[in-house]
Amino acid sequence: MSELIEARNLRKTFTTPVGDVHAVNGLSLNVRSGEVFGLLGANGAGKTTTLRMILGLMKPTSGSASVAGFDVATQPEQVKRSVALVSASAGLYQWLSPRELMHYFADLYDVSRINANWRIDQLAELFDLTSFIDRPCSGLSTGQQQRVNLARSLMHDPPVVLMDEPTRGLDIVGSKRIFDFTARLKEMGKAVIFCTHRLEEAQRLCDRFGLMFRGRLQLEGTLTELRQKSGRESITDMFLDLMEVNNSTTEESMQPQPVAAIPAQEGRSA
Amino acid sequence: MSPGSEHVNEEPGGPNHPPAVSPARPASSAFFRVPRLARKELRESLRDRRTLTTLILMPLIVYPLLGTVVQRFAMQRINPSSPPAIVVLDDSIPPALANSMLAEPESDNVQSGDGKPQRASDGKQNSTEDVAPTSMRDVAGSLTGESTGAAIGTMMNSPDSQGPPMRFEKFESPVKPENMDAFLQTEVADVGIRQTAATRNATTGKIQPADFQVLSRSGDAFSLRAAVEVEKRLLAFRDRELRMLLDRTRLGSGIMPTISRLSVPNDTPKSSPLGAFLPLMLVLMTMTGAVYPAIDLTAGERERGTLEILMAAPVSRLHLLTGKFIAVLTVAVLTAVINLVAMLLTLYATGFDRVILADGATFRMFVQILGLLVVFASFFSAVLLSITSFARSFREAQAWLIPLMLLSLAPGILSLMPGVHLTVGLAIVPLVNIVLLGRDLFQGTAATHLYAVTLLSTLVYTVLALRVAANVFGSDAVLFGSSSGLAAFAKRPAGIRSGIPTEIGIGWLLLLIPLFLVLSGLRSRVVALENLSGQLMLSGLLTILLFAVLPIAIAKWIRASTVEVFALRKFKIATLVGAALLGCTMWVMAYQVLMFSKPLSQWMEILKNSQLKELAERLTSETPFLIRIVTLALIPAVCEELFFRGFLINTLQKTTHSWLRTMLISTFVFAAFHVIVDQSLTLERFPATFMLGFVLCSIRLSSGSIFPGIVMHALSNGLLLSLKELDPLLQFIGLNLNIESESSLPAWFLVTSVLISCAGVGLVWLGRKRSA
Repeated sequence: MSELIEARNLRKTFTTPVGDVHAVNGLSLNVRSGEVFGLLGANGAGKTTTLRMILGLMKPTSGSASVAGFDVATQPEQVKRSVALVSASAGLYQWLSPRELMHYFADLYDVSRINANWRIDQLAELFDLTSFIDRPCSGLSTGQQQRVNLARSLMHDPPVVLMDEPTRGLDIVGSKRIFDFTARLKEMGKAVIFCTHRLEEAQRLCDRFGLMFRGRLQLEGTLTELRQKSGRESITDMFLDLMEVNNSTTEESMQPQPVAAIPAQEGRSA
Repeated sequence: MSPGSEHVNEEPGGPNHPPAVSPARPASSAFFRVPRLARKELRESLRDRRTLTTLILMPLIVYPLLGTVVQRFAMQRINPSSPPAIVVLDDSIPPALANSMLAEPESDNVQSGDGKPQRASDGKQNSTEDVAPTSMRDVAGSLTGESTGAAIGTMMNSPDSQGPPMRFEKFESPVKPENMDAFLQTEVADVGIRQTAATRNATTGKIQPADFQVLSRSGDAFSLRAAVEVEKRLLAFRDRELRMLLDRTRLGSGIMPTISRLSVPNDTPKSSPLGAFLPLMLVLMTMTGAVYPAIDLTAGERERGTLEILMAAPVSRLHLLTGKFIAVLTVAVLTAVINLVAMLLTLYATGFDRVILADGATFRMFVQILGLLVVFASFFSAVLLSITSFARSFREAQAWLIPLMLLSLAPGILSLMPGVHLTVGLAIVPLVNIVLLGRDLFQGTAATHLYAVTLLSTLVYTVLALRVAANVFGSDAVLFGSSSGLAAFAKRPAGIRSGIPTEIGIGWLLLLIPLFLVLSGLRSRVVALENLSGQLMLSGLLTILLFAVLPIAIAKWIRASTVEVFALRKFKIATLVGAALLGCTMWVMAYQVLMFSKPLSQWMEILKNSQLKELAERLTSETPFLIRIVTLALIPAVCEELFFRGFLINTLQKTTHSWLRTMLISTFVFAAFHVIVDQSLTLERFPATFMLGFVLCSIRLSSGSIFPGIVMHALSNGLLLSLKELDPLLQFIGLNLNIESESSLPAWFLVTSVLISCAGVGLVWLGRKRSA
């Protein structure tokens, strides 16, 4: 079971007031153990939606996904147990101490008390939390809070880590910490999806890349493969090409596409 | 063995190698997690200073403060040091006469404790000092009894009279009658007594007796009250004099009737308005305690960015929410206990408990009220969570809670009315039942079965609210956000869409009912109520406007396909014939259903007043048949089908994704609407209308078109309206229909109708839309 994350033809269509929008359109990807997959794209390309579907937070309109061999649609609980979600926007409970917070997540993930204590000691050492582990989170610095958040996400020691814009809003020190963290996850043999719109940082970090544009995975492979396919050196250049091609060929179709008068809603309910 | 230790033993490598993925545990283990989850929520809430403020500080400050204020106010009303009324006397009145004139009349302090009516004794000194003080009023009485020598006397307030007792003081010296006005005008004195001397009519020789005039300052309430009191004493004085006079004559005072006031013991203790105020206060305070943690633990999760990682955890929303519920409930109950204790202590300390509560503050009452508050707290916590779960931010949650609070005040205030008593019906109305039961508990008059009904119904609401909350909390819409209804309305899409967005559809539905009620009410302003035809035409226009024109306008505005929204599609002839057959027999079924629901109609007897009957008769006699058919059959058939079977079904299908739910909800709304708009709120219409709606809904969904339903609806309404016109025909086929007798229809007729209906159903089924 080397493929820890598998997504097959995922599709998500949102019905919005301005018509139907295909946030993710036929996306497939595989991530192995010990591999960091960079899911790259501009804001609104569908990266976060993809992660949410893989995690089971959102039901795909069609297609399927599995994590650690568990099907997202039929075994959602096992999938959630196998995944850590790291997001820059995730907050902490201000009135709890990091230790209490980690115990709470141990409860959420059904980690036994003994295991939890053991994990907390281990993670506290790993992320250097020991000096403030019993102080309320509200009094911690941004950097300390970030470390607590990372430690918290690994409380249940999952094989898969999904990182949703983990460096958003962070300074150099904070970003560096994320890179080190990701490298460590790779060493631990985790399968990681690293979502970001900062292409140069991804280029340093990831083993394979998926360039997402308007819901589609336009280009996928290792850096060498991408260079061969695109004939460009840097990912940024590849991306600019991608945008240009798409904009020139399908200017209109890239607008939010309302699906005209479909009886699809009635069909789905039947 | 705890679930935790069991887990470790499964590990082959011991604690050094915790499992990558915890194996799935039995469901019971997941349930055991709830208290641990609740502990975190509670910890979080109780560490928050804002929670603690409402929890402890508020009651500790509010009640003593309130108690002191009320006490001050009450004391002021009975304060012996309140200024006496100065009485100025005409110098022609001898001082001795003046004293006996103004002496306090016989005490009307009638004791009725032993249940035997007693006459106020004739003894002069049945003053309040003789009676041990048993109430605040008596305390006040004993206080005022010890008045200074300067006072002429003290008039005790009789228990049912208003205002504090009155004391009088004679002005130091009598004045000339002509100066008296000036004394009053300059507020040197409050009351004046003037005497006009007795005169003898020179011609007739009759004696014109002396006249006493009591003067008060106009526009001065205090002076007026004093004057009334003085007048009362003068009358009593005259009575005494007269009695004495009669006693001296041979007639004796026996011919003079005595007037005395008695009171009989009260079986139903008069409920003090404060008695209802106390539970309302407790309820409101309990609410305030629960509000903050409820918002913090739901909307706060999203605001802090913890909701998504919470949803990513393998724990069910119901368990998460139950944990939160336990935490909010705990805070609410703590608030309730602290409030109750603070309130009772305040009452006890100020002595008000004996005034407001029938038996004073007892431990039993404390326990009963506490039980009630716990149930209320659980109900309110669940309701709060279900509302705050919708919110995406603290501010949004607060905005939604304000209407809830105002809404909660309405039943609370209703229960303040003295005439309202807790009945089985009211015991199932949320909040009203709690406040009323609380009032009865404070009075010691609560009935056990009503207590049970209240607790039970409140628990049911709690579970329902919790289910709603669990469905909403962390749902996609809340988690990832979606544009609000108004934004959806304002933004017109470029292309055509297939349906009405949920928020717009539901929004219009919610707007429709008040609009309809208000506009219906306005009809009488436009056309006189007596003009029935005019009224009918107006309501027809109203129906067209609200059910057809505006929904179509909405659909057009948001560029939804009217064909899709209103199901203006082709249909098979079989469906049309089937629907027509059903339309012809529907009134028979409706009639039978109405007969079946007769117990219900008896229950609603009060509403079936003669006015309704009169209206129905006038309708048939005063309006042309054509107008009736058009306004009561054709227009409703077309417009209601467009709205209920078009617009509403389109909206619901998108939301519920289920045929059955769409049918049930839309039919329920259809039936409920007919009950609501009917001014008499005739619940008995519900089953029949529900049945009609259900059949119409089925035809719409099976045929995919609205038109057969319109035909059926029109026929059904039309036939029901023309029963009178059709009477000769019915008589001809041997059917004697007398609605008044409310008897069942003959069997042969029923069987025929059922057969025709079955044929109709068969045809509708034949003409059903085959799914592509």
